[in-house]
Amino acid sequence: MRLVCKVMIILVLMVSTLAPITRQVKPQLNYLVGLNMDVEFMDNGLARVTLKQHPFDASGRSLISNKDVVNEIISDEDSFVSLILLFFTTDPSKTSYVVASHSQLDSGEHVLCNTGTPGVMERFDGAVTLVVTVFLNTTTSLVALGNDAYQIVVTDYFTLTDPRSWIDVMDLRFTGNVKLLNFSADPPWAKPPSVANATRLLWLNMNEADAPDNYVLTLQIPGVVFSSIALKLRAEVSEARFSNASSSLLVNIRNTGEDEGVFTVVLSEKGFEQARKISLKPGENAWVKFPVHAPEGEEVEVKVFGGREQLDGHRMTLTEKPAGTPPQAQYAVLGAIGLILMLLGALMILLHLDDRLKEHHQTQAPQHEIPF
Amino acid sequence: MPGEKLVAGLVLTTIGVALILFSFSVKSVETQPSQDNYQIASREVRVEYLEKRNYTYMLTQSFLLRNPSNNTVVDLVYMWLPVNATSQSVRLVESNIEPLYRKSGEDGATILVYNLSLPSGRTLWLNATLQVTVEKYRLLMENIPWLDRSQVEENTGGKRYWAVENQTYVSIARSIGLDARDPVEACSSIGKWILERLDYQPTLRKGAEHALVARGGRLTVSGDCEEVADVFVTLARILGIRSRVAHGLYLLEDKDFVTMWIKRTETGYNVSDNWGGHAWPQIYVPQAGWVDVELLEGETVKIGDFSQYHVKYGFEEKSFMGSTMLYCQAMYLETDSFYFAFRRVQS
Repeated sequence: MRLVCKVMIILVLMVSTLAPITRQVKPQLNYLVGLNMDVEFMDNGLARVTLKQHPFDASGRSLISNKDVVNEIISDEDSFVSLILLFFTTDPSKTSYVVASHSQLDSGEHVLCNTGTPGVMERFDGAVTLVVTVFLNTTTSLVALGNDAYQIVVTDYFTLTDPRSWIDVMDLRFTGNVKLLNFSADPPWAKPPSVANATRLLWLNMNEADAPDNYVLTLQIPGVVFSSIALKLRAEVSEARFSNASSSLLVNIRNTGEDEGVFTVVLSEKGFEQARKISLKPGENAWVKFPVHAPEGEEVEVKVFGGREQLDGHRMTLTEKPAGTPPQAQYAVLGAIGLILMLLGALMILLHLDDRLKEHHQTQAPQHEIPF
Repeated sequence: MPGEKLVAGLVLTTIGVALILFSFSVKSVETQPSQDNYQIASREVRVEYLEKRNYTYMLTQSFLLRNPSNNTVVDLVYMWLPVNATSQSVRLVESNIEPLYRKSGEDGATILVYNLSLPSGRTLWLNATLQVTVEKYRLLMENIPWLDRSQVEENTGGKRYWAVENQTYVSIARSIGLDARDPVEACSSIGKWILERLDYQPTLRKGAEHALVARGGRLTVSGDCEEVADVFVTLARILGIRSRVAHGLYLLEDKDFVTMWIKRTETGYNVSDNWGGHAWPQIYVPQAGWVDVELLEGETVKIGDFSQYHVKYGFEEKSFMGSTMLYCQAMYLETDSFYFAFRRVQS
């Protein structure tokens, strides 16, 4: 079992204790990791995050020369990138970032860490470093306050996910035209920063109780652009069928756009707004069913959304007959075309018969003519 | 040629008649009322307790802490308590050591934090006694509406263990739940689908994505209670149902006094035969609150049919990486033994 402290933890133990039939858990190397995080807030809303890790054992002895441990930390890069992103966002999958420097052992770096002796921050030489540049405009931590001012909440995700873990050192720097306007930290009993000036905030956290869970900053950052690639989702409510017997409404949704997407179908009736989620490929359609609470004859509304945008909507009356939706019109048009074709066909047949009749007259006439 | 008009006329007439017949046939199929038209189903939302009974336990949880280092260690020790939640109430009766403070985990777990000092090699028992009242219930739920749009958009996304964007899961969810009339029916279909494919194997948590295994051309759900819960939550969320995982203990024995334990050994951990670490899914029904779903009690799908043997320690809903629930852990001190003694005092 791997025990990482100040950081991640005994997820292995947690899981094994939940599995009812597990009897033995094979132990692996136990170690703790000192964590220092440097964050440089730059123009245009970029944050350059350097995570420095130094492993040590329960007695406080450095394990930086233990290749197995160091390699394990280095090979866990993907997890640590996700954890870094979670300091700034609740959904890493929607966050833009660049790994500026992959995990590597840097003997010139050092990590400060409390190893259990109260009030003592020890210095460990050497660190596994990982550098990630985060585009804050794609995170959930950045809230625009106006006039280039933003509130940024940096959450100690290690503490959030495991109450025993914390960041030993949080070093926040503000470079370029970025200005620190205000800051705070919670919970209220968290210790204040050791260094607090216009360009730097430095927290040295001796233990989890002292360490802030959230670092709340108000910054002036010029040049932040909230850009995103908007999918052009298009869909229509192509049909709706009400069944009085089963008190349900079937709604057919068609993706009429060129992008695959998740659509939300909404039925509004009798005080209820009900929504169903459906993923559709381009050109694909599907039926979704809703329980209906309104009586027959009542008007309801069916809408389809792609993200926050309403793509289509129809008001319809709950009747057993299908609501007046586009396919019904199509069938009527189809019938009309059929009728026209049938009439044209009949006309052609009549013309043919007429021709035959004329032909018949022409061939018969000479026999009655009396030549002079 | 004189025959051309006849041929064209016949072709046009045939096509025309075919189109007319087709358009009529489609309309007649669609306008055909259901065969069970003679009995109109009720439309009222109905949430009713068919059974509701409280069971109270006095729970003493005891943890043996040890200082493995060569120095005296001052450490913060975290003890997880059962949570106050829908169908469960908890009161801390006493603790042998005064906690420093009480804190909440990411998804509302209740944690007592102790500040302990322990000399090198020494051990210490940390105990807490709690009164836990668990509600056994059976719910009748009819005509439950689907959630509104804001709930669907905010609470049915993916997490580390819930791969809601995985196309295999999307396609499974469509095939088993899209034509469900209401969320309870959809959850019932999900539960049946899982049980029909379950290959129960105790395992480390691997999440929904890795729990689905193709064997002999058939998909199986491989894993234990956590995989069952993760697969359920994933499929439910794809269908727009707010769902989460509950963690806790399950009393495998119906006795007045039950003790279960885990002990650290030199090679790993031993657990008692009746060890009941458990996880199960829940769904959110606005008219009823969080409703428990149990798929591993009697090999049947139980939605809102909850036994008195479940004790909830925490939930996992918002946490992206999954919640950590360790019963009792410290940073530097080791926890060598975990004891949970349940005494049934009232039912």
